[in-house]
Amino acid sequence: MSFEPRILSFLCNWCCYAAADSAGVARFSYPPNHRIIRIMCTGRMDPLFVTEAFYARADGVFVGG
Amino acid sequence: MVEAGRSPNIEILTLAEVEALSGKPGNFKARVKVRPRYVDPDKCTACGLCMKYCPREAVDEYNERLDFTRAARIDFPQAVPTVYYIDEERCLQLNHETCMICTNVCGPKAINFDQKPEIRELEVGAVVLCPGFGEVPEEALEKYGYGIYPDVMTSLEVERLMCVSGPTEGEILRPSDFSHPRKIAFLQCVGSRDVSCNQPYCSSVCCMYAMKEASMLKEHAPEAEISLFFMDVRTQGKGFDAAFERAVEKYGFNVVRARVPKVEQVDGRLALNYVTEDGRVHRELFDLVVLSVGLAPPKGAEDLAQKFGVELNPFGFAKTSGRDPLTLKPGVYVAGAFQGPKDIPESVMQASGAAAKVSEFLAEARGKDMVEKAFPPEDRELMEMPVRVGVFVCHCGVNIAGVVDVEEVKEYARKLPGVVYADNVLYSCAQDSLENLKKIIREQKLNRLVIAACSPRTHEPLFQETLREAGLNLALIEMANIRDQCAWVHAEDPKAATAKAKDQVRMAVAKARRLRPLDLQKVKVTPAALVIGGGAAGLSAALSVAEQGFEVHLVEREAELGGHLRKVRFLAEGEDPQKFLKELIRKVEKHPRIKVYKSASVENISGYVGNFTSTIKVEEGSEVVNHGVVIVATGAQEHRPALYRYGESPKVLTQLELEEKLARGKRGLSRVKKVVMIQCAGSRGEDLSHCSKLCCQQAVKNALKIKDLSPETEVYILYRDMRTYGFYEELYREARNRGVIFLRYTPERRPEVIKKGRGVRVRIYDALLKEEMEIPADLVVLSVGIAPEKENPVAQILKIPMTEEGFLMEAHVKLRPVEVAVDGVYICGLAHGPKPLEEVLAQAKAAAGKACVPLAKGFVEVPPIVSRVDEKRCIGCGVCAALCPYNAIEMVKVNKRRKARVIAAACKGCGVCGSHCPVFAITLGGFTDEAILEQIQAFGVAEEEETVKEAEKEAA
Amino acid sequence: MAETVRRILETVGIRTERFYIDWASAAEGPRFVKLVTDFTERIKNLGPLGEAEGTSWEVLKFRLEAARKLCKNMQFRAQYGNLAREIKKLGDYSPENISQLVEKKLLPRIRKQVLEAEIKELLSQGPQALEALQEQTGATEEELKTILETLKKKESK
Repeated sequence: MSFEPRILSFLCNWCCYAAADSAGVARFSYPPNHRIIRIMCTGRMDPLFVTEAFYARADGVFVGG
Repeated sequence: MVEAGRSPNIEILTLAEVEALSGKPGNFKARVKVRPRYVDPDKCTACGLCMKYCPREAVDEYNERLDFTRAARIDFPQAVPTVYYIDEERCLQLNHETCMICTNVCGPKAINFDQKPEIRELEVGAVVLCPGFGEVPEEALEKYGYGIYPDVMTSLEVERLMCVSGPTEGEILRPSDFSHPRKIAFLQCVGSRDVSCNQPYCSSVCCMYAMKEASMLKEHAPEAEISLFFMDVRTQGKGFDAAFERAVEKYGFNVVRARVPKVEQVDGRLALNYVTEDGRVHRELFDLVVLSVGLAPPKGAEDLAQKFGVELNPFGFAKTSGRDPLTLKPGVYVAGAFQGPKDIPESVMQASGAAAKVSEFLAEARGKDMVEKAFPPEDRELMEMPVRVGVFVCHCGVNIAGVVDVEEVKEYARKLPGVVYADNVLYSCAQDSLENLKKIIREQKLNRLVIAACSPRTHEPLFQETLREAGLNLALIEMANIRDQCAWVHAEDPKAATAKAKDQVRMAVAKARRLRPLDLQKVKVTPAALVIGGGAAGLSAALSVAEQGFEVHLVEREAELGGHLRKVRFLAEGEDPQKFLKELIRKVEKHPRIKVYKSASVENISGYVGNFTSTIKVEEGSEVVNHGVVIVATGAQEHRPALYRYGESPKVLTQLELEEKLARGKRGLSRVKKVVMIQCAGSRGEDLSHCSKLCCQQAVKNALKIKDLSPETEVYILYRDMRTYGFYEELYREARNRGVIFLRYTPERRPEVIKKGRGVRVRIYDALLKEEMEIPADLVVLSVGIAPEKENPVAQILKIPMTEEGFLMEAHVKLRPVEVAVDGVYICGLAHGPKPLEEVLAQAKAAAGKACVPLAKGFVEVPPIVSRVDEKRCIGCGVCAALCPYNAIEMVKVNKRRKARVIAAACKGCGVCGSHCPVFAITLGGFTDEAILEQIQAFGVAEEEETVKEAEKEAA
Repeated sequence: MAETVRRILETVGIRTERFYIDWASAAEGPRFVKLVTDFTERIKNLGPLGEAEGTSWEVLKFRLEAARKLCKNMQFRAQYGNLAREIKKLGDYSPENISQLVEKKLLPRIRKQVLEAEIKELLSQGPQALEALQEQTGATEEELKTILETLKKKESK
């Protein structure tokens, strides 16, 4: 079995989260490896969240503004 | 629909018909006949037992007569009101006085056969007519074998077929043999652009909806081959062209330019004969033919017009003028397809515009009979109990359930820590589901909710309101987005999608456990509007706001009001735009509530919905004004392409420059014997990617004007698709009848303008002759289209997002066409996207209507996502105040110590303050550190579970 | 934020490519799809956490725990906040500038705290050669010296 990474994405409500919704509305497809946490803005991102994510064994962390 | 149903100030009368309207504008009396439903709406719980046991079958009109239903029924589960009814014509009890089964099975005893028709006299100040559209005449369909060959279906029938709650539960089966069609044809302009069945106009929406249906068919049956037969591809709406092209590329549609004259049946398949533009004759067999039916006036339109004393146009739709597309007569307004075929955004704009008209008309009486929506007090006891999470996993029809195993997700959720209740729900946003949700909250004593459904950006406010109705604080809900960001994007991998949905639900539950009640704050609104831009849109929006009773500051950068419209000399509708504009400017300038700033610009806007402060720079200095809302009507410009030798030869003009000439009458056309117009000059894939929507009718209008002034002048119009949608089609037909020559070109072979001596020639490839030809022209007129302003400082100040093309982006393309992501800011006119004057005016009224909502309300509720400071923890370092991009944090002295304080109404909840606070003294409503950390940890838990499982396996 | 995170990851010994920040506006569905697809591809190539790093999960876990403590540490957060304030004041958001400032103002503390935790742990397992400690943790000789001194002081207290 190929390696399926577990990726945690923090998405900004107004930008990337909205873009992700619109990708859904347009029925695009993308790899199902991402788990998404909605934040109101990338400004909310605390370095702590990223270390915490790796501590929770994320293979990658994506922040989408 | 649900929202309207929930408003305490809207009474919905269904099964009702206006019999007569009497009285004067502002003081009408409407006699309304309400037919009996035979079901008491207050008692009915929409359980569906009556329908289940009803022995009497009836044809299912809602499903386009493709299925059977019962005499006791509800048409569709989300219907408002969510109450069953009994079909008078079919019911055994009502017709033969025998049966009563429904009465016996109905638990709450809601069935009542004694109900009689009721006449109600309503006192109303104004009327808005929105009866929608009707079906095109039968003969328009019969021409294509509809009703003779079962596999010829209308687009509406196919729409029902594709629906999961439709007759085949979403399976595409052709009616003759219930097989899956492999070759499908869409025939456009059925009952549209067809003089032979008295439907001469274009229905405007079919090209786009055919594309949408074809795309959905492809999703259902990827192996299907789909051909679409067009005369012109009319996807002139904002962003439509791009969507169309994307779909053609993605799904490999076969786009054919031909009008198919008829359909024949051959050995169980359907044969189409057609001629393509190169003159070749084709014969092709299909399994299914879909007729893209047009929009006709609603049934009974004449009767309706008579009752209300209003006029219809020659096509049977409500007659309005180009200057005022919303008014039928004083006090009676119109919105939607009854005014002419139109798509959802235009209908919504008209609806908001009509509401603004009513609000202008009834401004004096506003608020007199208002009912405030009241919520029950919050149940403190329940909220303070240990966490009890309820999880609802929504099917969203098949939108989610078609991909994600919702049953498995529910079972999984049930076992998560803190969860005491989990269930599936077909449509969680439906009225009955919301009622049920409240009931379950009470029964199960839930104090935290997780809804796994669509995006919180779609329905979170709706669920929050439901929570409030159930006595819970609105912040105690978390949504797991398993539709837009899961089912829809992982359709090809249901297993992975289900795994993702489970993870998202687990993370949402983890966050929900940490949710705390938050207070809603109310902020007063300054009852004034700032309107930026003094063109047709800005002027008419300003006038509407002022007429609705609020002050307006109107800012125009030029020395004169009028904008783009000043250069327009004629309107397609035949009215004089300059006269109209002058009148509009006069009204605005003398209006006591409007202050006009000319040669002015907006330097700075600070604040938030309800309380903006702006600096307006005028020649003599600057002025600071306070206002509650902003309407952005900054316009756009006529595009200037560096193509087709524009600027190199005086013989090459734009359409507006031609209008200048035409305005001088016959003199303007002296020695002009041949005019060549080039459409899409610079648009649709050249300098500009979009379609400018108005150039086709503008060209036809000017061509006709040339023919009026100088009938012997030859006019050629070179085009890609003639987009004279709606009633503009009449002008197109007239132009052809009067000898205007239309030649199509393709984007691969655009025409060329060649200079020859002092003259110019236009070279174009003729598809029929298969050769290039040259037309010597005395004038070449370019339809240059509309380009967005290169820089829009106002949009930058207000942080309004832009589309790829550079137009202002609305909050929702279809449902919120005049609002933007920023609260209290509204958009209209060309700044939003190219459109003809009639639509600009409707949109301006819509923006004014929406803008007056907070002004009339007098206060706004601040969403509880704002940050707050724990003063005990705060060390007064001031990092947060320095970093806040909205200046929403001030440093204050509390007991001689510096502390940070949040200005709630200015806070956008971005969280910069929280993430930079050294001592975690700042929490963000709904996005606290604890909640997010818990969510991250929950993300990790699955990994552990897996490892444990693997270890167990190995051990075994 | 991103730069700080990268420095922390570097110190912990996680490939910085595993963390990615980018922007897509609300209208840019296709762009979002591309970002996500590309990033997933990149992580696939890196393999599970620890693999591309050549470090076992236990070691990473231990260091991450130290990093978490660091991120909650008030002094570190104050430095981090003040740095953000300084950058905003200067108005210079160029990556070079930010990188330089982070390196100067934050990196020493990041390294110290994460390394200190690990060295302490290693020492608790028994005496270790200086060279071995250096190799194991990637600390410089100087860093190692200061850390050992602090540890001594703390112990004597």
